[in-house]
Amino acid sequence: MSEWVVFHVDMNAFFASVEQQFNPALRGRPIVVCGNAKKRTVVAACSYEAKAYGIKNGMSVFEAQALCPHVLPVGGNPEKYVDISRRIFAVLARFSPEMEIFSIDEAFLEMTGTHRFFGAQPEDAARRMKERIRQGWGLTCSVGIGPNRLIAKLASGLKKPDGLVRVRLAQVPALLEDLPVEELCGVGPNLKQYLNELGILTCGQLGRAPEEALVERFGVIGRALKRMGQGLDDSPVGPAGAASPAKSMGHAYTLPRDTWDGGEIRGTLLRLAEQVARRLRIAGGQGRTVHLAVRYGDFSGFSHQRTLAYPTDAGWLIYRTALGLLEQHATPLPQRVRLLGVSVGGLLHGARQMSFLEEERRLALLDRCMDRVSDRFGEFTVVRAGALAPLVPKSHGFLGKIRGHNT
Amino acid sequence: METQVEEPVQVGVVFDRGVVSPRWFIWNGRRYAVTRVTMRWQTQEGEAPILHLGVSDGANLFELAFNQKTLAWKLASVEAEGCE
Repeated sequence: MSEWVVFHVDMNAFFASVEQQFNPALRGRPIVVCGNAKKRTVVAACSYEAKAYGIKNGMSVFEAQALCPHVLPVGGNPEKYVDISRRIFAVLARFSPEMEIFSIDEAFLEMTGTHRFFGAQPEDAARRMKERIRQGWGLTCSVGIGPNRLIAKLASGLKKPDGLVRVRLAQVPALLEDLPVEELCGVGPNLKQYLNELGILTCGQLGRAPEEALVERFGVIGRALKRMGQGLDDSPVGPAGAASPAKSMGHAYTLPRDTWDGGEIRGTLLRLAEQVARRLRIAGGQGRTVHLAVRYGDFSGFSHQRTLAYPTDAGWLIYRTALGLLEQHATPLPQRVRLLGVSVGGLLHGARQMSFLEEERRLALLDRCMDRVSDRFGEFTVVRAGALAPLVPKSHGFLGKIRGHNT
Repeated sequence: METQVEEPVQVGVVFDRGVVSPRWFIWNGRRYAVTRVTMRWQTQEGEAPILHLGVSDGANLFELAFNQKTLAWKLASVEAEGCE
């Protein structure tokens, strides 16, 4: 019986590569894509030329420039990335009906039944995919081919950029034997540390570890960890858009400069709350837990949450709750504020409780009216006067936009 | 360095089998020949789909935006360092 064939397609340095294609002057140069082209934001993506200097995603632009003084910060354009990502996934979907969008720049494809339409070997289909993406957008991707998702994802990471690596079932034990455990998808820094404390440094060691010991230490995932160490993964590749509904939605914003200004802080909070509420209403969701994150000028900060009596999609209520958290935990402000974030969790989809309070019903009607204006003329054509703070970029919820709904 | 412009422009375009290819545009009375389209993408502004095009005149990079509802073109931005 022939083995399963799963592809993992990973766009190489996606945001940075898109910007290098958009602007040919950036090709071959170290660039970082960030919230805006100024120094206050963090690196969302970096070109391979920038990675060569040790620049990593998540660093501040200031840190990136310390590593590479001539690195070019480029303001990100999320809508551009979302649209190009959608188009690339539409191309990939022609290769298999079973595609799972894993992130804005990654997808799994179940190719067991379809790769023969494109050539004798799975690699032939992968080469066609890569060529279609290169022709369409000038972009490269790495394709990993494996007998399951776990191995396909590992394989795509073995050669970047522009890689094509197939790992057959028989090659899996040799591949995993000395591979550090943190290379496995799902093993983050904390889990790596816990495994290392048990003397498990490699996937080979993880695969041989006694299951009882792993279950005792990690609970139910102990068994799954052992299987991962053995390269076993029977999770199916889900169809596009089959993602579970979002559990939370949020926005964060780095202010143009650190500030004490209460008006600017409140205006930004209101705008963030309105953005979150608008996304909730589009997705047909309501949430009960409002979460506020504050970062100060020295990068210290706090995050706190409050659970409401009932779920909401009302911007004014999210704002009032977030403001209450700010006043409770940061009065007086200990220092200038750099970043604010508002999110709503505990989402319920579909269910809706109408308020009996006339004032709340009036405000909900106002939200609906504003939604209709936004639907017709664009987001935030009409805003509450208090929200006329700096515009917040539309930069979140990538996956939902690609999959056709907001997350 | 990118400069946001957001000004209406006149654009000479070839529509061919669903592909929109600008050939020139006039901005502030000056005619720019489009030598290359570097990228295309689409966004939504309310009910209006907006087609964005990265175009070069061989020296600079421009972003043109075409509102497919009003059929109006605008120059969204100029990248003075952008060139082929």
